[in-house]
Amino acid sequence: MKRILIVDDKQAVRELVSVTLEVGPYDILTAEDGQQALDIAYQDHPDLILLDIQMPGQYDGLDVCRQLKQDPITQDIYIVMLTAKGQPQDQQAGLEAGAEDYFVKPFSPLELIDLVEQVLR
Amino acid sequence: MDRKLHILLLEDNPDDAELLLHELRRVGFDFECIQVQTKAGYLEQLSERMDIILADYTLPQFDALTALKLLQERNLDIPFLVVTGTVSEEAAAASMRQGAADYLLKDRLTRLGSAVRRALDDRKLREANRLAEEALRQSEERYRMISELTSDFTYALILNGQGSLEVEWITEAVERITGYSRAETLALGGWDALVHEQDRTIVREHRRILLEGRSHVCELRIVTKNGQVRWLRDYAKPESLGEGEHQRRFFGAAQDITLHRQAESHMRYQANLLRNVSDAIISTDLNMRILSWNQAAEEIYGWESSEVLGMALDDVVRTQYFNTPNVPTAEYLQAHSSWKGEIIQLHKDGFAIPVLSSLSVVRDDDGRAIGIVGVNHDISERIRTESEMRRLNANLEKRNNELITLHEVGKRLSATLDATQVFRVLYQDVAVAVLGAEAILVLNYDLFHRVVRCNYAIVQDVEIDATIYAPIPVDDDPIGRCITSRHPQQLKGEDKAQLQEIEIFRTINQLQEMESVLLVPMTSSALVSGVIILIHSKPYMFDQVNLALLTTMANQTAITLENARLFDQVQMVITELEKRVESRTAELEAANAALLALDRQKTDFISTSAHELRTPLTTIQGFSEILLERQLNEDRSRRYLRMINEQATQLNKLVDDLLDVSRIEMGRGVTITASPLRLIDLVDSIVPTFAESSPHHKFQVIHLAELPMVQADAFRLGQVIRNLISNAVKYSPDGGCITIDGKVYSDNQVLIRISDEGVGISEGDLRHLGEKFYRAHASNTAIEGTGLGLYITKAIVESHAGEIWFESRVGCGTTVHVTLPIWKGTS
Repeated sequence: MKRILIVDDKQAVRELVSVTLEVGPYDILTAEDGQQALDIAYQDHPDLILLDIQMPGQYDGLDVCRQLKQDPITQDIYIVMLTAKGQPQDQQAGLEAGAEDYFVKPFSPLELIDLVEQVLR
Repeated sequence: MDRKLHILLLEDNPDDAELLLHELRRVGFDFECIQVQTKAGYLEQLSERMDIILADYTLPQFDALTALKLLQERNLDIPFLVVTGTVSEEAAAASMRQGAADYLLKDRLTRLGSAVRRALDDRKLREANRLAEEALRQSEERYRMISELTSDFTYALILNGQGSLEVEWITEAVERITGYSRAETLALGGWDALVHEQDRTIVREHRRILLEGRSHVCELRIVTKNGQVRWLRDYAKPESLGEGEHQRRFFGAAQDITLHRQAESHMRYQANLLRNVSDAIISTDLNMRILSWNQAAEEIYGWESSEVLGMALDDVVRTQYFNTPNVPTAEYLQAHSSWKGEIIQLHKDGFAIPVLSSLSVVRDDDGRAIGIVGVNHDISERIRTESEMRRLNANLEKRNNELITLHEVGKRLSATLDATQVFRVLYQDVAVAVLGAEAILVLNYDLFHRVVRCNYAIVQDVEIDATIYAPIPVDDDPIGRCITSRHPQQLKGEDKAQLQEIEIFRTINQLQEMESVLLVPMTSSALVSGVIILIHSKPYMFDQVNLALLTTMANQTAITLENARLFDQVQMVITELEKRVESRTAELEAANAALLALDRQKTDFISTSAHELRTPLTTIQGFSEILLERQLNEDRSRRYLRMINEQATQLNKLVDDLLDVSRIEMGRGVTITASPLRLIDLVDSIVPTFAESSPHHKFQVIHLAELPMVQADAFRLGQVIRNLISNAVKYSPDGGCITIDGKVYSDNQVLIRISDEGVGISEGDLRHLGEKFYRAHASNTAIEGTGLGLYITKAIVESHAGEIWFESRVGCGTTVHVTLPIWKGTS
């Protein structure tokens, strides 16, 4: 079973994404901030991370992405930035950090399912 | 007859021949006769040896006329007598016509002797004539040859039938003088055609006199073939005539006198020159005795030529030499040939004449000195001019020096804008250096108050503090008159005494004598701005130049002082402007910094509010889509609908805040509808909601019930209280007590305090609290907010004429103070 990590500081968003993906054969993990996200990524090595950028705490989403992509152990994890920051320079920052895809809030849950199915096929 | 007569006899009859010879012997001729009968014999014997030929008219093979013809063909002048027996008138006439000397009949031979004798005489006479003519011809030829050798030309004129003169001949020399060859001259009708048109009358008169038979000489000009004008002297004379002869021929000789004429004119010119020169020309012998004394000498020295000839030159002119190393003695002159120098000589009336003298030795053809010539030029005028020039130059130089001083001082005066510096220059460089004064005062004239104030005073290099002296009223006194007249005034006795009664002058008088006091007005822009006073301890005479210099200096000083004053004003204005610019710059910089900060805050705000707006939107959109797409049980459906509802409420609040901010921004402030309000009622309606949603916090409301009613907008004030409690909760994430209390703050104000035990706010953040978009703990994104809450809160409090301020200690918590107006109306 494919493993998906959802990272967002907003409970409502975490729940929305979880609910969206619960229809598929996925093992869903969640994290509230960057540090938690890194811990879970190393511990459970998910296949896909849906990663918010603006988060409280020491690391924001870009820091997490850069860290995971630099490490050979975790660099194979497919990372989709899921963020309210939709400006071109924000997307550019995400790609430079090593993210594979970029999803701007507000998003359509069905499109998110399509993306996830495509990635994890 | 000194010799024998040779006779050629042409006769065929011997008797007739004998008869002839007999007759000739009878009358006494001694002769030799050769008889011939034929033409051949005749020709053989025919020669100039023969003295006479006697010929028979008719011969068998020959005849007399043929013989005569042959004789003439031989060109021999031998008398030919025809002797014949037949008498024929025709024969006689033919013979005589042919040129025979005579014709005789044989039967009348008695005439023979006389006929022969006459023929011989005739021939002798002819011969003599011939010889004379030859001599004449040769003589003429010689004369012509000689003429050809001279430059002069000669000619002969012949009177023609019309009574006019024609050139008979002219010598080749005419070409050398006129350029026209002899043939050309003849073709022109003689050289008279060449006469210069102005001299035509002369030549006509010349020829007229000649035609009267008189010799005549004239001088006239001709124009040569190449256009030159030459002078000729022509001597013409009629040919000498024998008695009764008619005058036909005239001779002339023309001589080229051009050079002579030129020399003459040159001589005339020189003679004129000598007469007309303005220099005295005096010649002396070697002992300096005067030999000649021209007209100019008479005029210059006043002595007539007749008075001085023969006198020693120096007895006449009394020469004084000066500035010359060589006095021109006779010895000196002989050695050096000439001398030139300026000397002084005396006029007859005894006054001195400056003279530029040139002396030269005159020598004869062998180079021996024979005398001295002096050319003396009167240089009185030049000397006068020179001395005038020197005087003018000296004046100019003096004037120039003054101008240089003036210029230098002017430069120094202009170079400074410091009044004291100006006065020092004036004192040192003008008063002391140029005029030798010991003290100066500079008085400023106050036109409005009609007083002067002493601006500067210096006595013997010691500056006096002039400011302690009272202003001096100006009226009809020396200073006043100087100001009114605008002219420098040197003070005399009474005026000086009047001046010395003034306090400052008393002081100066104690320091030094005030012998000469000069007042000079300072004029600037046509107004007298003050007076400079120069003081000498000794009498001093100011001349026009000094006064002019001083006036100029004073005026320049006035201008410089005016400049200095203006400069000071300008400096003040500049300083003031600089200050203003500085402060304005600081303000602008601050405003700019504020704008930059605002701009940054705005960017942050937009970014933040986008995020804040998107979060509820994401949830609403996401859950509503799931609700639509999926079959969910009722619990989950309700749960998702509640979440949508919460997020919509959050979104609504956010939009309200943004609207409030935009209203405040637009300057409309917060709309307040004030009414009496009990605070406790408002707080009690709010706290329970928080108590419910924040179970970790303890809420405490004290003293509020005792407070008087406030005048407030219940909705807006509720917004304030909610916001402040919400902040207190947000910034005390670990829980703790949140206290809301209040008290009467002043006669018309109450104070409400909301305190927490949370993280507190740093001093830096504290200062900015309440500013729009400012969020304390901005780095802590866990604490949600737009940064608008406190900004709106502050605006609302201020709209109530209240105040808000914060008190906080990091780690201990924060207290917010709000004052509100007490309700004063009747309820």
